Amino acid sequence: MRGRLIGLVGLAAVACVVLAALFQGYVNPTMTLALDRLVFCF
Amino acid sequence: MISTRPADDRWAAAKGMLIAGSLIIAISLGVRHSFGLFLQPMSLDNGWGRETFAFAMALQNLVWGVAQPFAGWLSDRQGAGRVILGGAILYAGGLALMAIPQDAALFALSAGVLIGLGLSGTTFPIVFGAISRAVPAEKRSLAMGIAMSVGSFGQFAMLPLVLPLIDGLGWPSALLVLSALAALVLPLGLALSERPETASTVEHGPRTTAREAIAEALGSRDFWLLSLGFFVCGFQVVFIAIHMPAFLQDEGLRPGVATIVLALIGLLNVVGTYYAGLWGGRRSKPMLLVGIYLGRAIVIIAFVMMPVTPLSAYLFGIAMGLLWLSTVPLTNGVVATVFGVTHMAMLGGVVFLAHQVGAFLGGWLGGFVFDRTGSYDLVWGMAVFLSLVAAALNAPIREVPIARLRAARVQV
Repeated sequence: MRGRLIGLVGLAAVACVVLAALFQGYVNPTMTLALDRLVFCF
Repeated sequence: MISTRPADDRWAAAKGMLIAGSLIIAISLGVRHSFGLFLQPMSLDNGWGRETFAFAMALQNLVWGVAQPFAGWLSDRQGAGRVILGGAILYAGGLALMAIPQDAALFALSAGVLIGLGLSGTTFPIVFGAISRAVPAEKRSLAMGIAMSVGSFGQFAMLPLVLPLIDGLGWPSALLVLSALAALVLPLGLALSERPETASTVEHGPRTTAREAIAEALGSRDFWLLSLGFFVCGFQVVFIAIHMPAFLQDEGLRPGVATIVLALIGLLNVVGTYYAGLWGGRRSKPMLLVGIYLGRAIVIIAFVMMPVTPLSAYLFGIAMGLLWLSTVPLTNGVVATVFGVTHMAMLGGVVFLAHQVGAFLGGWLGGFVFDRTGSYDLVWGMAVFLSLVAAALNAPIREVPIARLRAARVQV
């Protein structure tokens, strides 16, 4: 039970890091400059 | 016979199919989602105006929408695995062909026709058809919600991954990487191999021909109501996705706000589609659709009536993201419940065609109206009006199997 809990917390932490990194990918200047390209096929 | 197993066994057996199907949707929708990033570098290197790229993308969406019912028909007839196999070959081939120097006509063929056909073989109507036949009825909506949620995550994740790929490797190599990624759908498709003829007639009703099934659906008031509602979904999401950045800049906000809004929509869409599928298994799907369309109307009204600030734009992105593609598992779930799953990929494809027509109009009318009136006010008004219409259209839909399926169950 404890191992499962630790696993879940670890997994959630990894997921948060991945999501934050992806979100950062959206807000960096290169992506902002690519705005007209970004929206084209959203 | 798959469907005579106890429900728990069927759910356990279908998990592999669900995982593979979810990844297929994620790759398929995700790769497509990144095409906009290729607009500038490809147009520049090939000496095209923007229209060449735009035409190929418009053609791709058109081919995808028109081919979807036929791909669905093939899938229902031959099994999803074979159609996904063919779709993946066309998709990966189209991407590889895009990577070589070419003129506008060849680009229309590769990016427009080949990838449009590839999408029709590898996206959610095909996967939903196979999954719906494999899982027990009470888990169907949840399964579609999970698959669509993973697919939505693929969309969200692909843009920030592809942009550095283009900047680092150049667009031709980036396209080849995407082609290799699309080729991964080939082995994943094996997990969706099925033999529809083995589906039990006890659960799904006596086997009808595709012609009978389509006639049955087109003769049903509820099928039309559902399709028209989905038309509105396409209109709204494409209008917002394409024109929101320009609208925000017109309101004086910096471009970075728009990218965050689009990212929020993409991220919250993952959550919204999952919960739509989950709740769709517990509550009335048409009523949930009514709630979604009413919710969209309220969110749009609140957004455009209040002063537009970065905060109001972010709140709009969060709310709209939750309501974004959550209509997809619910709409397809109603198709499965009402018309059965034997011809589900084909009927889901017909409903999707209505979505694509709405999407075309939403994207095009936004620009058309803006050019003539100098503002988006009229299109925002249309989006709200259509949202209310869609809510009214979904309200009377009866989520009960058609008479033929009910009769089949009574006989059992």
